[in-house]
Amino acid sequence: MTRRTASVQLKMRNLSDFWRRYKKNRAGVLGLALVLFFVTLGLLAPVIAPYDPWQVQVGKPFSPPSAEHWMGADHLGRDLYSQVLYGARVPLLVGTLAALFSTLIGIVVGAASGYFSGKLDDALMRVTELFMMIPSFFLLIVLVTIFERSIWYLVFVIGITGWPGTARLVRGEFLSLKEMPFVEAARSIGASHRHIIFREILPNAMPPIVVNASLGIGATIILETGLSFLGLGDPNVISWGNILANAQIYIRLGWHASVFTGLAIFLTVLGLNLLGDGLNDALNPRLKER
Amino acid sequence: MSLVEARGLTKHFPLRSGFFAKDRRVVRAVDGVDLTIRDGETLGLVGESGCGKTTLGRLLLRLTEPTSGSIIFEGTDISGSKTIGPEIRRRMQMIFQDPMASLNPRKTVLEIVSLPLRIHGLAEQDELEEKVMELLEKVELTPPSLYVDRYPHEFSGGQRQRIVIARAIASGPRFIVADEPVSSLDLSVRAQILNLMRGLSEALGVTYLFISHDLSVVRSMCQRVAVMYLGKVVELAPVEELYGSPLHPYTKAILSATPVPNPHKSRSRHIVLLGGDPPSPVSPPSGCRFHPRCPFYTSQPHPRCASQEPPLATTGEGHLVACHQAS
Amino acid sequence: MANRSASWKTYALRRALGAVPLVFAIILLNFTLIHIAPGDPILLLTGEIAPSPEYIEAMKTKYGLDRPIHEQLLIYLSSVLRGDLGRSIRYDIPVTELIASRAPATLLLMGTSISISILIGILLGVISARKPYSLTDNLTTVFSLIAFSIPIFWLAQLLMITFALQLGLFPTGGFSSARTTLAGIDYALNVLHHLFLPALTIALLRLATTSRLTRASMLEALSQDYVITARSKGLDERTVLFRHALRNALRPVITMTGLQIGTMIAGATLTEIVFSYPGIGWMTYQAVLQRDYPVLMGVYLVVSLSVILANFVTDIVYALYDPRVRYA
Repeated sequence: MTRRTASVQLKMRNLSDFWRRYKKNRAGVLGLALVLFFVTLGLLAPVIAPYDPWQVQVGKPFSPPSAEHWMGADHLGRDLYSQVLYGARVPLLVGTLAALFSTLIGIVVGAASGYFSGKLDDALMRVTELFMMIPSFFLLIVLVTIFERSIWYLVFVIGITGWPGTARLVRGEFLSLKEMPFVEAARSIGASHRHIIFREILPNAMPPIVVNASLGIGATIILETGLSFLGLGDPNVISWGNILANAQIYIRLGWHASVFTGLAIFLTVLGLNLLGDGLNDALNPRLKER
Repeated sequence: MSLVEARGLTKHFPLRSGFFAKDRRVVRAVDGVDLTIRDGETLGLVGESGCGKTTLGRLLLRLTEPTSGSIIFEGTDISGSKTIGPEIRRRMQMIFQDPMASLNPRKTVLEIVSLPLRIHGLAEQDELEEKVMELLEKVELTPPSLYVDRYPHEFSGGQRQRIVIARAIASGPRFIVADEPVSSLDLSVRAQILNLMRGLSEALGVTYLFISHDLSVVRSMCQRVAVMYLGKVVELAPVEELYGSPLHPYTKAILSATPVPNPHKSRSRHIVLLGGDPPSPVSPPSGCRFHPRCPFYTSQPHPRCASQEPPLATTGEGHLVACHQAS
Repeated sequence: MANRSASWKTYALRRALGAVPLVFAIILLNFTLIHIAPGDPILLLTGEIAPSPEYIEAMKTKYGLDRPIHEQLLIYLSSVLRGDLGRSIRYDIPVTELIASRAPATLLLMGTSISISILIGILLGVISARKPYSLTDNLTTVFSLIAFSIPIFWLAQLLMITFALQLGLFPTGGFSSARTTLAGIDYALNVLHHLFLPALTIALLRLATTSRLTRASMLEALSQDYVITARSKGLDERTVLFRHALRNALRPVITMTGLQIGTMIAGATLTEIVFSYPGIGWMTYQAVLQRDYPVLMGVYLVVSLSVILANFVTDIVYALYDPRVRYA
């Protein structure tokens, strides 16, 4: 057997072990199903949406759910169901990318802080504290109003305001893992700092980071939809937040825009939170197995 | 021929308790140790917890910096420079106490054992697996193919310690510090691991510093033994001499407390009881550190014992002791 | 006793001094934002869209826009400290005045919802901790999970749709009924009537966090030695729960509440929008729609400083509550 075959087999074995553990948490499986469901809806929107979401007057404005329009029509007579389908893309995209971005920053800051300690740690922790104090929602309002309202910009600003939580977490992990004998063993073998940080400590710190990141996606989606609700979303795309913003203006005339769209957001974020919980249980097995 | 030498080696740790950041007190973990380890020998280092033996081991490997004093390895002084070059690094290794904690739980055995080979460029990419399997065979983990792609938690304590040993010998070291290598293993497994270590020492010419608090284990493994108390070496002698005729009162006390299998012998023993509490390494007693608990001092309080630290002096064939009243 | 009060005052003083660089950093951040924004800083500082040349000159001198940047910073710093945050473009009154006029409504809203959520949340948490994994406990856990996943503005909309629009039990928005003139008790009741749904929205979500946290810290407190001691002394369960365990369990709850002021203000903003409740949040929303930059910058500054203040107050309350902290 070649090394390559062996390592592929190893990866398969790890994956199936992981799934076996993950399955044990029913809520986690439900969460995964919910997330996959909405991601699929968003991806397949062009294929499954019955109408063009931008096209006005395909239905009577504010008409309630019916056979032709499963979720009714909005204030311009546009099909709401198609809007909800297409509207999944922006929150999921922004949520995932922004969470990834801030996790990355958090890992860099937290690892540097926790591994090297000393003055670097003090300085970075001060900065982290400062960022934690700043009310990010309002900062985002200011930043988006002043600059621009595109999705990429949104990913960027949410990313650079969201890292302190992850940084603290990563720092904590590094501080404790740093003292473990296997790290000392690596040092005694002569491993470089880079090796120790990335190949010894970080893989062991990943479980809480991953859980944190997946919970972060949920939080970011709520944040993004909130900003869009305020009218700060990208006006050129369909997004759940935009739909809800319009729904708010015309809320006396129709409840369905609000209810269906909000439900979609709720179920997606719920799914992400359950997923995070499930990951938490699945990735920390050693405590149970031993 | 000395492989490793310590001269006046000292390590003080600053005490940093919560409020009083200005506390200048230090923990005198290792306080002025002179020690020579000969090429090819297994030197035992015994003492109670907190006596500084683990710190001494880490100092000799330069895993921590000495506060003062020097460490000579293969003739070169390695105490000064900030970091040791890889050439020296690979010639000195460590075996830790807890095999589970000293193996990265997320790495396979292959990755763990091949790390020294990769870092020091001792094998090509495609040779790694072969070399690792050779090492696994040396530590009697056969057939090695069953081990390479598994994770540490899939093995027993004894097997894990063998993996640790395999990793330690991978870079072809000349000096290995074994810190309580069998203390966390089941009794039945201990003998096997000790045999393995002995075999490797002979086959590979490895020198060991064998740190333990278990005197019977040390007796079976070592040619010479050093006894530490509160950061200092108080006695050093060839093994049978130390166990047969110990000179330092502390050595006598701990030897007398070692369980003896023969019940007749055990009943007729005289166990030396040490009075007082173990003192703190932050403020050791003046003079000889052992004097407040010393049976010699209790019966014959020489003023020198309370005021002057006894030097480690020779009293016979390779037998050194630090006691004013021992000679 | 004299010793004790002296030490919390020194602690308070130390914390206050520690907060100063933070305040300065916030103001500096604001200043940076104003100056890196595209467009004229004058727009952001004053509010005039097409100012006359004389006005530009006057503003230039006032804000020192032709002077080096560090001088401008000092000028900005001093004007902020004097309470000058510019003028609203829309309403043409000083931003500080505008904020001051809206703040009470938001404070009323937040005060009410925090009180409700803390009271009920702690109660629920204690009950859950008392009987872990019982029906109440499980329901509370599920409730918390839901609350964590629901956007507050959607919850607000749902409540409005159900109770105000469909059932007509509550008004759909505003602070009080505009058309009638009421006084005294009637007025107060009217305000409460309008306040109910928005406060409920915020309280429901806060309740989830509070009860969860109380449950967790109660469980920990109940397993401590002093509780076993109290029980073995023969004290009845209620005293044990409330007098002993709860006192210590409340600590993280206090800290958490303080830390989450920022999030709560954000939540209040979104709720105000849904219910057209005339507080700071509603005003911010208007400012966003109308590009009223001075108001936005002003609100951001005020909210940031409020968060720092809230943290400071939380620290002090905590120190009064737990003497051990004062040495930190």
